[in-house]
Amino acid sequence: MTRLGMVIDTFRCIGCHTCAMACKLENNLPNNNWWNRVLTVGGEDMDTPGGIYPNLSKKYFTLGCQHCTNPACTRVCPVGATYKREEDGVVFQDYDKCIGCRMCMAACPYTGVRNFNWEEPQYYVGIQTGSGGAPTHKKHTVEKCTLCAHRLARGEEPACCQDSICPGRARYFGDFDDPSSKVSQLLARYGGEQLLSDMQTEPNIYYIDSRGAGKDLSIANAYKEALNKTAGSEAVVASH
Amino acid sequence: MLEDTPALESRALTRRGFLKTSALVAGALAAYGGTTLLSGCDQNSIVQMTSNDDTYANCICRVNCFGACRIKCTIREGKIVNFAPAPLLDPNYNRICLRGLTHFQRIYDPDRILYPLKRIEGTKRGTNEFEQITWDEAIELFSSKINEAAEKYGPQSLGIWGASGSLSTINGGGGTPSFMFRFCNFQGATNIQNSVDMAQSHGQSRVVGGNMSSGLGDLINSKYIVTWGYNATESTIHSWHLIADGIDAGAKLVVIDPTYTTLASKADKWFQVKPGTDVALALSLMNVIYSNNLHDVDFLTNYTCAPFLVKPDGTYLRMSDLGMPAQTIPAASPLSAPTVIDPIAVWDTATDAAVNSEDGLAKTPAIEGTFTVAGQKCKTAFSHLIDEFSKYDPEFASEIVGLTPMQIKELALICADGPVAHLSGYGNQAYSTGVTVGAALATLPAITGNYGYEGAQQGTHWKFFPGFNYMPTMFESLADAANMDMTKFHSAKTIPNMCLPDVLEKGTFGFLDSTTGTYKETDWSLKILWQYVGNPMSNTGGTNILKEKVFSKFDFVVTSDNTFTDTCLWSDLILPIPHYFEQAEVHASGEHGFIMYSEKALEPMGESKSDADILRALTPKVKEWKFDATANSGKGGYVWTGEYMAKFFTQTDDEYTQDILTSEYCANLNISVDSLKKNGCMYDGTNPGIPMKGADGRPTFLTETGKVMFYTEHPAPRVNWGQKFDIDFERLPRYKGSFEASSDDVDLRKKFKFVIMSERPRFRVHSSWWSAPWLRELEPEPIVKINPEDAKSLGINNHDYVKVSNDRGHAIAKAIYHAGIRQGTVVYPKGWQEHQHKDGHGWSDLVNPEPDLVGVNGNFMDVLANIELWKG
Amino acid sequence: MSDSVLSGASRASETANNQKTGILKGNKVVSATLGVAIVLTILGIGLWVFQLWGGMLNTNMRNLSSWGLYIILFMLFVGLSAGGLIISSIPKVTGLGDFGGINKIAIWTSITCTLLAVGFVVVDLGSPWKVWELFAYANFSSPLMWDIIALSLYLIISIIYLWATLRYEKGKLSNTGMRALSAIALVAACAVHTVTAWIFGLQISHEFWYTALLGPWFISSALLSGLALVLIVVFALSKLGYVQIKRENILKMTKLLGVFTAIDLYFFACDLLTSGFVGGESAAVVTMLTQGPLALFFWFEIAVGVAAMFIAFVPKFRRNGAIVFASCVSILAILCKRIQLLIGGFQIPNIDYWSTTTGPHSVEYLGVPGGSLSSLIYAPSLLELGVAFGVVALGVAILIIGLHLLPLKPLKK
Repeated sequence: MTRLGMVIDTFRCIGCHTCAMACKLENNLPNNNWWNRVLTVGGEDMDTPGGIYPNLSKKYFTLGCQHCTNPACTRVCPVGATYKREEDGVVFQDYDKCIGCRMCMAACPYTGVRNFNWEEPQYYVGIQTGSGGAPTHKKHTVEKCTLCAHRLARGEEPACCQDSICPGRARYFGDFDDPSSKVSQLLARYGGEQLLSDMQTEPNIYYIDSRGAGKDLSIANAYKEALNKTAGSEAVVASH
Repeated sequence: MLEDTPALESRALTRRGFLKTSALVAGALAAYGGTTLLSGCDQNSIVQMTSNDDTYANCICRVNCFGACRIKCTIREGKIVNFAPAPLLDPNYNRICLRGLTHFQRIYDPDRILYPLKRIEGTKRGTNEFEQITWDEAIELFSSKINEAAEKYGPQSLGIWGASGSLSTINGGGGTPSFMFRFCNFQGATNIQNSVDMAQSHGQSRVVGGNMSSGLGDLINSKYIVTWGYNATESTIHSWHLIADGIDAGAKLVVIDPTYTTLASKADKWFQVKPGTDVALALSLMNVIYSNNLHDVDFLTNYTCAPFLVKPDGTYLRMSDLGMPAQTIPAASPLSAPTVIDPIAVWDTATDAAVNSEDGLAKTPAIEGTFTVAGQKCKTAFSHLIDEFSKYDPEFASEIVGLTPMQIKELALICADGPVAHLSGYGNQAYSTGVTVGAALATLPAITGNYGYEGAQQGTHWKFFPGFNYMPTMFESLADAANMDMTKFHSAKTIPNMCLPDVLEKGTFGFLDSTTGTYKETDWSLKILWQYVGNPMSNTGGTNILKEKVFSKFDFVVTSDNTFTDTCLWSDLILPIPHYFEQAEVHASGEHGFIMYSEKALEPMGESKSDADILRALTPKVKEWKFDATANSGKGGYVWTGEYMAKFFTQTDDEYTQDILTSEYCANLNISVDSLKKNGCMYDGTNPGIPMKGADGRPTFLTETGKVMFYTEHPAPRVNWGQKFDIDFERLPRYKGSFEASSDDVDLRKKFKFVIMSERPRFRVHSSWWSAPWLRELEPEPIVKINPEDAKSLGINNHDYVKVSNDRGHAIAKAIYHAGIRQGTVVYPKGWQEHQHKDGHGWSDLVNPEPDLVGVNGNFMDVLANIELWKG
Repeated sequence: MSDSVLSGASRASETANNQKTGILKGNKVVSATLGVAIVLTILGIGLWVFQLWGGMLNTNMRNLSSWGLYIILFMLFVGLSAGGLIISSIPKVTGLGDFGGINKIAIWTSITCTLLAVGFVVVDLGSPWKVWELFAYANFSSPLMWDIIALSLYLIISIIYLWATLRYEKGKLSNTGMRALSAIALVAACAVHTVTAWIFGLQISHEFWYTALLGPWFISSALLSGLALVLIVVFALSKLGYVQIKRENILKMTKLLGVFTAIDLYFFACDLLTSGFVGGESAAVVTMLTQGPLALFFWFEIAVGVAAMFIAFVPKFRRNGAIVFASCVSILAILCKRIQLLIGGFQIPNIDYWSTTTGPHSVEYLGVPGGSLSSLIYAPSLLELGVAFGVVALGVAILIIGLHLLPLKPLKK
């Protein structure tokens, strides 16, 4: 079995919205439509902390479709336009089938994860962005994160989890049913929280807090070693 | 008393209540001039493309966020459609951000300026009445203006003002040897220096010789990471993961900031200082360290000016005072000064005599004490410093800096427990006292020997590439430079932008008279302003003053840009420039230590021309002037040589680029235009590495003596025009209240109750991306973050519109309750254009354009104002 | 021809003729009403077309409040329809005697309401032309699918029931058959509204909806509102002279109205107490209803309920005018109930920060300030009101036309 999902490190997440923007770019989202949102856990407004000086705190959660193992939405779609894929666990959305009844939006406990195109999709700039293959958006249908299913088909990870795209290096993607995957290892090491776990949907997006627990410094160390070997005047040449 | 940041308790993330945020303030986005900012096209008219024949280009994003991200751009059917991080040599620096991902919205901005635009005859500046003209007409107009003014007032009547909108190499700005610099020098125009964010480095250079941070890759070796006025998680988001790596490796993060930033929320400790008081804090820390005997005597003795003897007149006691004549080595070239070798003396306690500090014979120099030498009472530099910081015991400093004495002591113990990485942002130097901030923060680590080894560093993270050859901006050819043929040498004078109101009113500026060595008020008429690679109307302080006392005094204002910034709106002629990805360039500014080649992804859109191409088009019509002392009935004047400036601009981009990369430094690293094109990304020799570690493994600094010079014998202003200043004050890191934010003027503080600080939000870089629609969806309108208690006392509810005003102007913004704002201050994200504010007045109105006479630096944080509910 | 044959034949046709209400004949008020209804229907259709073409952004529904007036009215009309049929079938099933032969009127009212309910679902759909998919791709785990099936079957059963009632009156259907059909109708009516309840009651995503009580509660609301509607229609027809109904039947129905109100309020009290007793977050639901943005609707419903019970149980209040008043406000009360349920479910989001932007797709853009509990997350736009009026007008038209053309008059005994 394959059970795709994400691990997001809230220690490293600084709520910068780069992942939200990567999703918007990759999926060529219409105006005012965001599949991946950044939530501030703190004060009332974005980027504000909670508490009173000196006891302040702030944390960020990024939120998209949770690709639940027991989704509330797939049960209720009368035409099966949203369904959980057998082969990888992605909760998919078929715009052609969607009749726009919005039952899935009422059934999903994760407020705001599902977006309805309330009008003909509008675009500020008239070009189709992304690496290619993102489905065309349709008026009066529901849409949401699909783990970039069109990229998965090419063996690529979702846009928001692309190598080095998160400035904090806070996002990991993989197969929870594979114990050797990065996401499984992270869960084993840090535990992990799920959102709204009492809703019994068994989401596959886990939030960890890796603060201070040590990190894989092998990349940083490897580079340091390489440089020590070539220290001095030799140029280190990059490969394209 | 603040101890640890409260642990983020593990909460049961059930149901509602775990997230208390509500949506952003409802925004009415004022699209400029009712343009297509929020409209666009529908699904049916969107260009559908297939991805089979995608091509790629690796381009460098060149804005002033220090990111220098290498971006893999996808080009599909002639359009740029996708962006992703492209690899650098060190994957730690592979990155992109939410702005980089929206470059296509700048490239295909429906309001992008694609053709030369001329302000319509009879209309006023600032009213957006432009008509499209051809390049020929634009060149004709601009060149004739330049020539007319040059004939009457000399070529210096053309003022060229660049900032940092594109940190490119031969185009754009940021201090590189660009085409525009060459033009400015060769034309003899006036270089209007964008005096921004330079105070800290001036102070720092006095002490350690330059900005010598080790880079963020070194943080994994630090025990403490102490940030000073550094909003890394907002202004340089790409740096955060390296700080997080440091924390993962065991470093504790200590944040010194008046505001509870996201970085503060990640910190082990946060110290909420009063704005503009960092120097007092640094001095108090030195006080505590010294009082507890935690100072590093060995380091102070051997690697700093601590033992250097200072005469009563404030200058160093040198061997020439002791009878050993100074040696003068003549200047190596007409462009350099002679070197005087006259070592400083120290007091050797072994022999009880003043001896040469540099001949290695002084075994035990005293770092404290006053000694009589040659009839004068000479005190050691360290004793001078002790005298200074002794005034700042924690109880005294507490009142100034807004921390408890306990907090100060705690921070001092941290600073003494190295290796400590002191990371400075630019927040704390944007006060009138910014120079001493740089000096003080560079001095503090020296007290504990926190320099010259892994994990220990101090500085900011913006670098100049050391390998540039600046000669091509001054000499007609490299051969001429090699020969130092001064007949082929051209240079322009520099006037800081902050001095423009004065210069334009008086018509003079103090330039150095090389014959007398003094500064002389020289007649100087500025008539034409050419603004490029920046947006001063928005980013320079004191907008109203800028309009009344600067822009209105120029007869003709030209701006090179491709979006209708505030500056463009106040221009007479706009010249369209390409987007970064439409011009191939070398890029070498950033913090990551790589020099890269930015490929050309697209052809320049419309009729846009790079700076270099604009000059190639312009210079055939710009006359060459030579000063003739006999002209003007013997008074001297400028005479046309009969030739045009184009003769100096015959090189191609690659030829010129290769010239400025022709240096020993580049040769050692095999850096050339060809190798850069081939390799894409190359090591630039600056990072990683411990810059203050010499070849012998011992700390070394880029100062005259190779040591930390916290005592500055002959302090100079950052820009000198003969102004008077308190020399003795500048000799050491000393504290004084700033113009406004930490002002000692009680009446001023009573009149204006709030310190108005700006932040550089992640939704823009200064004013770049001001109109990108996706970013405006996330950040729809100007806001100001205010402490809820302050707000309530003013009768301001969350999301009310407020008017922030002082004698220089006002700004309207939406108030946002933020419990992490220090009471008595507010923070506003900067970069909005005037028309995006409710009544057309923006933040820059409030900033004081008056320069501090030593720093001559933008005082962005040094603002006092009042806040009230906006009725409007 | 002999006299007796003629008179017999004319008697038969007279009977038949007498059964048609012929309501439009010579009645200006009714004709005018029909005329207005037709105009409003056409207007409504036009607005609906605009909604589809111009985009549902012209409604006030947004991602946070993704259902609105249409689904509120859908619930109301399913209830009205179920109620009507239950009222007419219970007497037959239980053999307790009917309410004076108003069965057929009740059934026709019920059929009209069913059609309106379907109509409201259709106008709420984003792509109504894809309705065929419901049959091609049916997902049988979906309560919405169940409801579509239930409604379809229910409509068919209602029509059969009406036809059967006519046959029965003519003596062409046996008592047993009638009783059996009545039982089926009764079950269908209960089922259809229970299934409608399950659209909400089975969703764990909204605390306010997720209760086992919702099924029975919808039935009680259906009985209450359906009966009230029947009372109004009967009074109206009685005023127009097309039916005569005995006072005792009116009183029977009125008392029943009171009983149903009591049951409904009882269910409400149980639910409120269950939410409120735990304190903590669940209590937010109670606050929202009693003091928050939905307080108006809540207290109106309670007040109406109490008033209705007084009118129902206190003999001196049981004047005709009062009864009509009680019926009208009872329907409004159930409407308030639907409003509370639907909007209330969305009013308390599970995750507060529901929107990335404050652009046109957000509730903020509609003037809902931050803080969901402080103001109503949804109120219908003019477009929605217009379309809704159009659908209701269609119902009025169908009702009148049916009353005119069909043999719905109570049989004269």
